[in-house]
Amino acid sequence: MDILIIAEVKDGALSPVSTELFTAARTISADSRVSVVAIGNGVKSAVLSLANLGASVVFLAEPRDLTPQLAVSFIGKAAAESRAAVILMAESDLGADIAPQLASKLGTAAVTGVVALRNDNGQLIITRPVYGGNAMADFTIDTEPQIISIRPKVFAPAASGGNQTAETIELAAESPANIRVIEHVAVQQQGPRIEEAKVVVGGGRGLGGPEGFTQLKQLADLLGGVVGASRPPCDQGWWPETGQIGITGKIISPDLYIAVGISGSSQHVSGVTGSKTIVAINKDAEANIFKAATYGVTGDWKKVVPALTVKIKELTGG
Amino acid sequence: MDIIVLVKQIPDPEIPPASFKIDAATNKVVPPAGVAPVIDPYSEHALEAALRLKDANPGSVIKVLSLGANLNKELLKKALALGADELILIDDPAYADLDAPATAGVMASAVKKIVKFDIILTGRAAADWDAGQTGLLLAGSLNAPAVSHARKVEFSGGKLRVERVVSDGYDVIESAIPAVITVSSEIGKLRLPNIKGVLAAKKKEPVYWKAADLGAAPGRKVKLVRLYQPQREASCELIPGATPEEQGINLALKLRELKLI
Ligand SMILES: Cc1cc2nc3c(=O)[nH]c(=O)nc-3n(C[C@H](O)[C@H](O)[C@H](O)COP(=O)(O)OP(=O)(O)OC[C@H]3O[C@@H](n4cnc5c(N)ncnc54)[C@H](O)[C@@H]3O)c2cc1C
Repeated sequence: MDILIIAEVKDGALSPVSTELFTAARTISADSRVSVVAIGNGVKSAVLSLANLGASVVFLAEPRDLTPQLAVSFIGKAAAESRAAVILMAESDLGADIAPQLASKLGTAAVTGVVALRNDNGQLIITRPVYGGNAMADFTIDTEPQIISIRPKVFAPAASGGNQTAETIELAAESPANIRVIEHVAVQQQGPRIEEAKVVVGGGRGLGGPEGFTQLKQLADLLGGVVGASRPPCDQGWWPETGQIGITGKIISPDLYIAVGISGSSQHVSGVTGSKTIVAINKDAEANIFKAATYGVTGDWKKVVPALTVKIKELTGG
Repeated sequence: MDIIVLVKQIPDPEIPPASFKIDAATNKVVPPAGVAPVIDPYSEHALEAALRLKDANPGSVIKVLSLGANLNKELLKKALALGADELILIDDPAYADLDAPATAGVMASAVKKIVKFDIILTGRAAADWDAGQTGLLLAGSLNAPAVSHARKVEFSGGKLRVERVVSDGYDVIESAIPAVITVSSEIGKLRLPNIKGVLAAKKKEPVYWKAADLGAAPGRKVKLVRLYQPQREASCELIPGATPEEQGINLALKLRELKLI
């Protein structure tokens, strides 16, 4: 099964999730021929690392303004040349957008947001959460190429094989005239990105208002972590939407996640199951979050969190 | 403007996780007794985006399309109560179990039957299968530009200006019409209907289309092999303490013991 990987490159550097796609490719088959489309700016600088990860052919796509439509056009060409049976991409801003559009262009189908892959005697079993995380579904795709977008952090980054070479092919595509990106507006964030943070403190509707988040921020700062939220605080404007955790927000996988005043809906929990340790603070002993948590405190956060914060300060000398 | 909105009827996604059951033999969700289906929340956001476009561009016409088997007319008439001009229910047993490419294929035939459109709005995903594909596949079938995850959609000078949610903020995208836009929750909640709207909707009937009106039901490209509930270890260790303050202190000690602080 030949595989085509879509690797996103920014300023010459490979996005971390792109290296995870090579591990996914090896899960599908240890001896597949792997081609890569390196897409972004500074793609040439990424060729060596892509070759070392196992790419035998690297298609270079360096558009001036990257729209998903343009990405689909580039990848369509690489797909035709590589004749890959499987196309792997990350479920990133770009990947989520192009997987279906590419499927439509190539007359095939995609499965998005994938969390597991299994090769069952040549048949790929593709797993993803559905129904807001209440259920898991195993799918197969009957047409080729099978297009699969994979959630970040599902697979470990692939180790470099060292000093390999790859054939490079430059791709050209025409910018679609009917759509363009005029501006990118980045929302200022403090500290590490929530997706990459080692410690995340999440606040829910149980905080009762924006003030509670000031206390969570103190706690997170002490732990060298960041604050996130369930959906209601984001809807209410208590916390920025870029910090929403869950299927519509960010998927997180910190070493420690502390959920404060969060009931643990499946839509929230499916965004935090990659956390190594989950601590839940909730006054309702029956709350669903305790099913996902490793440690739990049943009590009023207004009393638990200040005591916790003071004690951590004392223990860490912070 | 001629606006088309895709609105999906789904099982209520906000039921407590404990009431969620699957029939392993049929690979289907067992609807909990007494819980009625709802309009998919993302479809509601798409409808709100359409209503805002109509507010800003008087004279616009909104046509709402819903696809499925045994659709609940009274539920979906909410769109009419809010100001949609036409409700088209594509309701046929042949459409009970479509995958995303097939859904988009049927929707493309329906859009071609409507003939004229400037913008199609859909949810960024539907809260049952959560795949986020239908709108984007439809754009592909219609050969129209697509913008996903919109948090704002405006029309001026013959062009669409869309803010697309990305992980660290948003992109501003300009698109020609006709275009397909998938809408995210950040756009804001669907407005509530007023009495006048509800009364007007009472008198209006949806238009029904069958598979025969749109061509045969397309086959599946994506097969569902197994649907099951994720196994989570329920082994939560409760932190002891006579008072919440003491629990807080004990939690800190536990985190230290685990070398997490
Ligand atoms: C399509 C769809 C997508 C969604 N996407 C997401 C998503 O990405 N992320 C997300 O989070 N949600 C999402 N949701 C919403 C989700 O279904 C829940 O509604 C939401 O997660 C509930 O948030 P919560 O736990 O903060 O609030 P609630 O469910 O209201 O829970 C509040 C909790 O706080 C506790 N509490 C109250 N006061 C105190 C106190 N003083 N001390 C301690 N505990 C207290 C209560 O016991 C309760 O358990 C989505 C829903 C849908 C339909």
